[in-house]
Amino acid sequence: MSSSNYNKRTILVIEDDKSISSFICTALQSSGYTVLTAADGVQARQMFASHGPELILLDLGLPDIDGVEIIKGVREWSSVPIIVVSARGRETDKVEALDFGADDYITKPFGISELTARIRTALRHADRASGSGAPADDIVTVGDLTIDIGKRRVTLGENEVRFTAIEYKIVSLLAKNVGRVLTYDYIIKEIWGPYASSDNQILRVNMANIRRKLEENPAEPRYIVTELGVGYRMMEK
Amino acid sequence: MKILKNSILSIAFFTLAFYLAEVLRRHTGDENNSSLIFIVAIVLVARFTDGYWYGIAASALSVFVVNYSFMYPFSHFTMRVEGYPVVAISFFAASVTVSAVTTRMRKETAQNERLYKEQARIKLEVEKGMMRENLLRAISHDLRTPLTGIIGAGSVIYENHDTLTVEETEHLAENIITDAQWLINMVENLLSVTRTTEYGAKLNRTNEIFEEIVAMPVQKVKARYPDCKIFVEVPEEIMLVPMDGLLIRQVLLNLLENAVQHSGDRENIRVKLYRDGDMAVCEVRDHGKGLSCENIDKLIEDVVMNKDSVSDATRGMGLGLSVCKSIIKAHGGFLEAENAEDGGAVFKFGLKMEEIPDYEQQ
Repeated sequence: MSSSNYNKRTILVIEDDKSISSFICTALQSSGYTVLTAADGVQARQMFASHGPELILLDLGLPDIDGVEIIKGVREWSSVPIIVVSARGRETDKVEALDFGADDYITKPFGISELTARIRTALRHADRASGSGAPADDIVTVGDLTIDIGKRRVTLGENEVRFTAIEYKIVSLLAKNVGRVLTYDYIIKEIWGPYASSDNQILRVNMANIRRKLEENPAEPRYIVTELGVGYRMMEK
Repeated sequence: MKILKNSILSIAFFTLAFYLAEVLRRHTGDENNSSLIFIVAIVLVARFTDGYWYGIAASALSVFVVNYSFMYPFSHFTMRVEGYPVVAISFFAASVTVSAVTTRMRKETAQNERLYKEQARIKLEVEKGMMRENLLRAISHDLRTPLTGIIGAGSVIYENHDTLTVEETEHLAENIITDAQWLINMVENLLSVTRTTEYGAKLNRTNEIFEEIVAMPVQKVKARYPDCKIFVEVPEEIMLVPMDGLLIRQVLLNLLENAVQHSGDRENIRVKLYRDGDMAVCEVRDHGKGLSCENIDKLIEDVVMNKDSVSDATRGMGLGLSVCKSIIKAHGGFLEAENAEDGGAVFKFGLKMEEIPDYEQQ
């Protein structure tokens, strides 16, 4: 993946705090993006309508309207990737934002490398969804881990990893969305169907078993990380 | 309610006395000691009911019943039998005396209880006040130091950017980041404290897989101190623990932070999870200089109290530990500190775990 593919793409940063907005702008510009800024909901809507950015970075705590309203508004007629910025301890807000159609989130305080990684992932998934990018990989590789979705085969280094049917479904779902966070609810609905109970205990026990098969140390996972209070994410790279 | 209870008690005692006296009369005939039995009943009524009236009523009734049913001539009321007025007076005297003693006793007990409660409340207030004071002292110290560093480094960069070398600027920026990260951790701790104390154990409790609490704190500490070696050991068994995951991660983060900063050991810090009965235990041990004291409360007090003299060496330790303590306390778990036999400090906390239902079939 060459980074130049994503250069000079336009990002709308919706953030009311001046110094946070300013450092994000500086960092994104130096990473080669064109950056637009909005300090409140009204401005954000204007900027979005007139410039049609390719990605939105949205702080949930805006002075005039709830950030979730912006997500709903945008989602009425656009699938542009939205990354939500939120504080730690506001996990329910993040889950709500994801449920309403945000693509990912990042927790304050964050480093620039983390932010740009999220942006690249979101843009790539958006490109695939719209058919303009490379088609979705049938084979996902993360470190020593290879998930061949076509052949339903998972290998770790040289060895094949044996999963139960449910475990494999969870792993392949995360692999198809590599780099993105998937909420507990989303995973449960995908694996156990729309009428499954929203109790995530069974999912988490399954994940503990998956980690025992995949990770060198299940307490320090390299492949599938827990996003506290939100869900799971398969790491890229 | 009270009237009902008092009446039932009075009637019960009285009826019991009546039956006993009746049994006695059948055995001994005319010369019986029924008045003694009734006096016991009167004493009991006066003792166990509120105020004077039940005892007096019982006395009056007894005077009449003894006279009518248990004295010659039977089934007639008469004042002529010798000594009978003495019986009547004794009944009333016993009732009034016992009632008076009982009432006073009750008043005293209630007063003592109130006094005791008041003392406990005052003690709690004082403790709370001291905790708040300690906390404030710890906070203001812990906030001021890194803020001074941040402002200093920032203004050096701002004012001297044309004369600084790239390396110098980098170094200053790095200091700013380190200090700011420190502050963030402080703020997280303070937030945790408000969530566990001010608003009374408002825990956001869900069933968590115990080992999932480890990743975030270990990763954070490793990122902050890249030279530091932390080893994690988890059991094969999957442990399910009801907890506020955010807060418990904060506990582990604080314990790790303390180990790295204060033990002097950066080579061999170990996190170990295991089951002990129905408790899920997390142990953080270092191989450093060990603890001055193995009592966690005293440890916290010492560190916080000596804030000014020990100065930056123990920055944040008191606050970190007291936060750990209040979080674990709110969870109903335990937090302990001890010195390992082969050197170094061991901190461990335990939380009650839940058995996992069998999901194999699903």
